[in-house]
Amino acid sequence: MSRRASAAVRSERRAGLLMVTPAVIVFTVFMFVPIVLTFWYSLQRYSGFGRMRFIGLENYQTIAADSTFWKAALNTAVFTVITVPIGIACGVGAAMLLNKWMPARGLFRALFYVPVVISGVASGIIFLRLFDPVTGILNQLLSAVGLPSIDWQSNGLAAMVSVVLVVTWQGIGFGMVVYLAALQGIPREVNEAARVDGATGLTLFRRITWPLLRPTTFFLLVYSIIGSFQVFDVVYVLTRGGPGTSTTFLVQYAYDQGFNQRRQGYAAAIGVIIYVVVLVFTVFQWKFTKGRDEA
Amino acid sequence: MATFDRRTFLTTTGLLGAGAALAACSGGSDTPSTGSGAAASTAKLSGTVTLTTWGSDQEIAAFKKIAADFKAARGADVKIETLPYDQIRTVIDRRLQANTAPDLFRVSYTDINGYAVNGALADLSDYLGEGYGDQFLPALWGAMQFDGVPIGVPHHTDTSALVYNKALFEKAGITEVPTTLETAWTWDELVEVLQKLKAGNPGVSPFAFNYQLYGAYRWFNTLFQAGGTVLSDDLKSVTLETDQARKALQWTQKLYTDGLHAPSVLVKRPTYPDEIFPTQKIAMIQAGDFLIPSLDAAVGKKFEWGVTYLPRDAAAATDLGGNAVVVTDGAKNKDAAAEFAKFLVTAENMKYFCEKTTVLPVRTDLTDAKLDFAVRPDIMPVFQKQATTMPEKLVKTSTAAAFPGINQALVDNMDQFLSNPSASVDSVIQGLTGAIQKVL
Repeated sequence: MSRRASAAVRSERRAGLLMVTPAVIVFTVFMFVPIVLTFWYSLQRYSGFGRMRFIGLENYQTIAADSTFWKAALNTAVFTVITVPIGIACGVGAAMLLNKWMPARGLFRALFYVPVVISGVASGIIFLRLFDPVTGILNQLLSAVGLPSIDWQSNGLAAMVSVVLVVTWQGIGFGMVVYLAALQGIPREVNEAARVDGATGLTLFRRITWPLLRPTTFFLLVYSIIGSFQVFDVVYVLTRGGPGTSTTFLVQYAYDQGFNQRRQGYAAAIGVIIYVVVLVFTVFQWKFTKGRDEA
Repeated sequence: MATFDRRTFLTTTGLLGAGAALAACSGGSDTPSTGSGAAASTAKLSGTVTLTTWGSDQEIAAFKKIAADFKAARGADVKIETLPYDQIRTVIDRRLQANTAPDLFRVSYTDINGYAVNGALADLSDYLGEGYGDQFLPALWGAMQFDGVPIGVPHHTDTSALVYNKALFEKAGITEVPTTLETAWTWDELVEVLQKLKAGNPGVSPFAFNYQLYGAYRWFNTLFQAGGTVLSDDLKSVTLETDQARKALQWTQKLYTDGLHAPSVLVKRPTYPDEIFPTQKIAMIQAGDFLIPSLDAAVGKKFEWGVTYLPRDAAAATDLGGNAVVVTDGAKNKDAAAEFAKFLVTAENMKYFCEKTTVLPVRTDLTDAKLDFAVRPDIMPVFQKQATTMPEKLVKTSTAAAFPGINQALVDNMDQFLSNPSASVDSVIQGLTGAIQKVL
């Protein structure tokens, strides 16, 4: 390598390092350090302020025998199994609908996407008003048509349904946008060839469109699973994990332990468990995507 | 459990004056004495301190007025920072964690020890002086002690009674309510009243308790009315495995299962009955006297409302409410902070605060003072008399170091119990006993 070339390489390396420095600083301060601290706190008895006491793996042993933790884990799993397929189905449905020409298509796309950009807390407050058993619009509508009211906040199943509805409503827009991009990436010739062969409507979707959307679906599947393990804001505002522990999910439980019960070490241990679960799914997705990209 | 007569209660609990202070609405001297355990300091101070609090509009206005007076008298600025009630604890905790805590904050008697055990509060011994505590009700001054040193000043107390909608009562054919402690409804009589309210007002919940979140401990009113207790005399073991506790739990749950209690007003969510009451969707609520100004403003001229006594079973009983003001150990301007805490609880300022916000004073020299409550002075005597039914053991339990954990055990277990009609009393007793024993 000539001296000029090596100088160019060095200069390029410097420029590269300079460019990644802000991202590295942000990642270190806001991601890496908190992750390491969370692992450290999970080995402590700590109220959040005052003295910290090292207790090794005691928090993890307590979690293993904590029935509320397992109830929260089960709720999270059930919530994931229900919301992920519904979210994907609604997302692909909305995308198929809004991929065709229709009047005010842009407006409808925007309307579907609005819930994604509204904060979870704001959404929670809006739906809190709608689901209120006493003053809520939903129960008033049910009463107006002669149906019995639903105890959205005092019946465990109804409370879970309300959370599922709000989270699904929030997520449709994101799924729709991702699927829209994928649909527009399908070559027109493929659809035309299928039509020439006599494929129409549902057959066209089942045999051509859906298989071609498989990578997108897989991405959304993993992304949604990770998201559902981290659901918090809507639940916090809407139900606080109640009634009882009917809608207590893992993050809600960690929050409750850390901030209401002043057991930050214990909450950190729950956080570590959530981190490991999400990490497994992330690695799985990364491996799959990497393999596909290299194929 | 026999109902205390007023004198016995006041003597045994050390709350002598809590009831009398309100009784004095109808008479007594106009001016409180200016005596105090420590000579009032007048030295000039500088800088700014922050008091973080929650509060009604009336409470915040009273704090600000007293802060302005302090500035005029002593020279230091006091910034009143207001937070929502259900966020105060988590915000204060986070700030303590980040070493950005306010100089002072308002804290309930039931939560003060949670901060003290973690070393968050300043030792005020040097600021308060010998004998300073003699001017306060002994039980509440006792709640200010941690490891033998004062960690705050008691600011006021309050208690619960029944607030009812007169129009909905008339519609249900209920024309009379108890006018004395002795004639307060028994549990059975209250259930009859609620059934009439249910029949006479379709679509309206007859009743709601104020057991939410940090107020979950108010269920102990019901427990003590049944003759039950929470802890043993030495505060070291749980005493819920009793017939009285079972009875209290069954009675509470039955109100829900029989549709006599607002189903959405549970324990874990901030659905407060006093916020629904003005909408006329609940006919009667258990509520604290500190809510009178906000209720009065929210109801306005929509309907007439009154107050009667809590129900009784084996005994009459009500909760110890109220708050203290504490100085944080990391306060940057500890001198000014401690002096403002003292200034807040002078006879003149405590009287002013109580009159404007309809709460009860905690100074012994205000027990016979005439208090001119700014809002609904006509109903305050009910709260005043109800305050005399605070059981000694409940006061001791409420000011125990483990009480924040006890309250949290109630939040977790009672919400589950009351929202599930098939939940068994034995399982909730087991859950509560295990959770409370863990925090003792």
